[in-house]
Amino acid sequence: MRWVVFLLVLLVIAAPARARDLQLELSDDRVDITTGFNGTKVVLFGTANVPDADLVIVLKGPERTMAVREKGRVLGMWMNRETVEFRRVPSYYDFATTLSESALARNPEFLADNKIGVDYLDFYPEDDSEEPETLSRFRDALIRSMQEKGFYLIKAHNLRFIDENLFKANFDLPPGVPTGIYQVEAMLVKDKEVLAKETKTLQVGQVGFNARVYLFAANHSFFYGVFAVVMALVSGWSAFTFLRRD
Amino acid sequence: MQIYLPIAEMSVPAESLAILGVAVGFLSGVFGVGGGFLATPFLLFMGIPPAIAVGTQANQLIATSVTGVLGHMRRGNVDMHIGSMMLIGGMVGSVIGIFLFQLLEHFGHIDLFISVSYVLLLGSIGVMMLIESVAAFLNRAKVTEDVQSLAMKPFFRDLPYKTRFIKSRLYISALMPIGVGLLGGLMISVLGIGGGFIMVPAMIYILGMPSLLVPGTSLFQIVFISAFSCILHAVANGTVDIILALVMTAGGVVGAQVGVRAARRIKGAPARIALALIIIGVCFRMMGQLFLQPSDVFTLDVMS
Repeated sequence: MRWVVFLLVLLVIAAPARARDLQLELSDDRVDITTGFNGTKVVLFGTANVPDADLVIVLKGPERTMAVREKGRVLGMWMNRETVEFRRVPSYYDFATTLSESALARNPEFLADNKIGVDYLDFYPEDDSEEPETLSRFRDALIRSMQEKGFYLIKAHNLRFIDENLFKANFDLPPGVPTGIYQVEAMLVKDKEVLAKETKTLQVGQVGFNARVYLFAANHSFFYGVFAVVMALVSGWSAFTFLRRD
Repeated sequence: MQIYLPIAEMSVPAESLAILGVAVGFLSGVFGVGGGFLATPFLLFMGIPPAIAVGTQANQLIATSVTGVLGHMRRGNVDMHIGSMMLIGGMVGSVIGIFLFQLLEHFGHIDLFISVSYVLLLGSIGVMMLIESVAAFLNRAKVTEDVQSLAMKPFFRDLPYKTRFIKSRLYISALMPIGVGLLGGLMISVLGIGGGFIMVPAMIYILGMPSLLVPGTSLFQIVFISAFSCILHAVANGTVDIILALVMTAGGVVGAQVGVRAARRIKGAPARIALALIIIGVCFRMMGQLFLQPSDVFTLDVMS
């Protein structure tokens, strides 16, 4: 099945590709979350037609506002003491590249300019009057926590070329992956210059029965509540009627 | 097998949920308790957000209480008059509870509030129950004290809106059952427990109801308050997950069947000792969360 998709993708991008330096295609432009969803892989292909250029592909989830809370001890109990809210935090972030780890480490300005890597994400605090050290502590905690959940990368993936021009990349989405519109951005890089950029969107969302439940709850919350109550009443009543204890 | 919860938007092991449902059902079968005190903490331990755990538990409570109340109604052990007074208080309590919940969640203290309340409630009730049941087990004689109910004490006796509750043979201020109901509504909407542990003694010692009518009347008002609270949670917070509720209910039905059979063998004081130990166990687990150093002092909340 993968290979059929792969060949189709090849056909689509091979014909008119010559004119453009960078082409990108997702094997599937949506990730369907069903009841049995347990994480998945996002596969993408593309062609790069500049010799000796490097490639960076970033996958970024929808932006959210997130509160980072720090616990402290009060009367022996651990409770949240301080909160910093950050805006426009990507709910998922991962990238793959042909650049080596050492090459990445040597070019912090390039990474910063193009916002590549978790250290250069441009989310910002809701309240900018906070102390810089506090901010960086909470920022680090946010990134660490997202990494632990599997939503942010720990180390860049290796991107490989299948032949001279054709490349393929995989991204892993964990079971609890945030839903929404994801951005896939590919950059063709030579001598710290971005030669070409291509973006695609990926929709991650619930489908089928799950989606119906979700939409019902979101759009008609009152009737959803009533429905949930009726369901519980019926199951309680049937347990009484059919499973009588005497 | 993982199951994706559409409202919680997370994937959880279905087996654990079903086992939790069975355990809760078993307890309700053996002891006639709602089991919310077990279900809500374990949902939290599984990493389900407090709002979803409590909202869904409100839904779960409806099912278990309906099953219970129907039995009591058939035997005529429900005082609807006093029950509906409690119901009024319970509705008010639920609305206050939902606001309180949102407020606590906004300031990031909902986990703390739930943990502290559980530790206090379960700790005190578990210990009292353990002492009582161990004493009963050793003496094998039931000590009954005829205590005067709070409603008969001077201040409470003079409260306005005196009402005659024929079935319970009480002449007390309607504010008393309303107040007790308010407490119940708060517990359902903030802690996700029907609070039979609290309500039953409260109805006996505060209102002075005859103990025969207490369980049925308590369940009667829980059905309505949890239904009301469930709809409020769905509308105000969008945190009632019917898939989560379904899996737990399915497990609960199985557990209740086993529990009812087991109840014929486990009886009286030893059963109450076991229940007291379970309650104290959950209390300790909650205390651990409160007092032990967490592996990470930072937590992350998605606000929008």
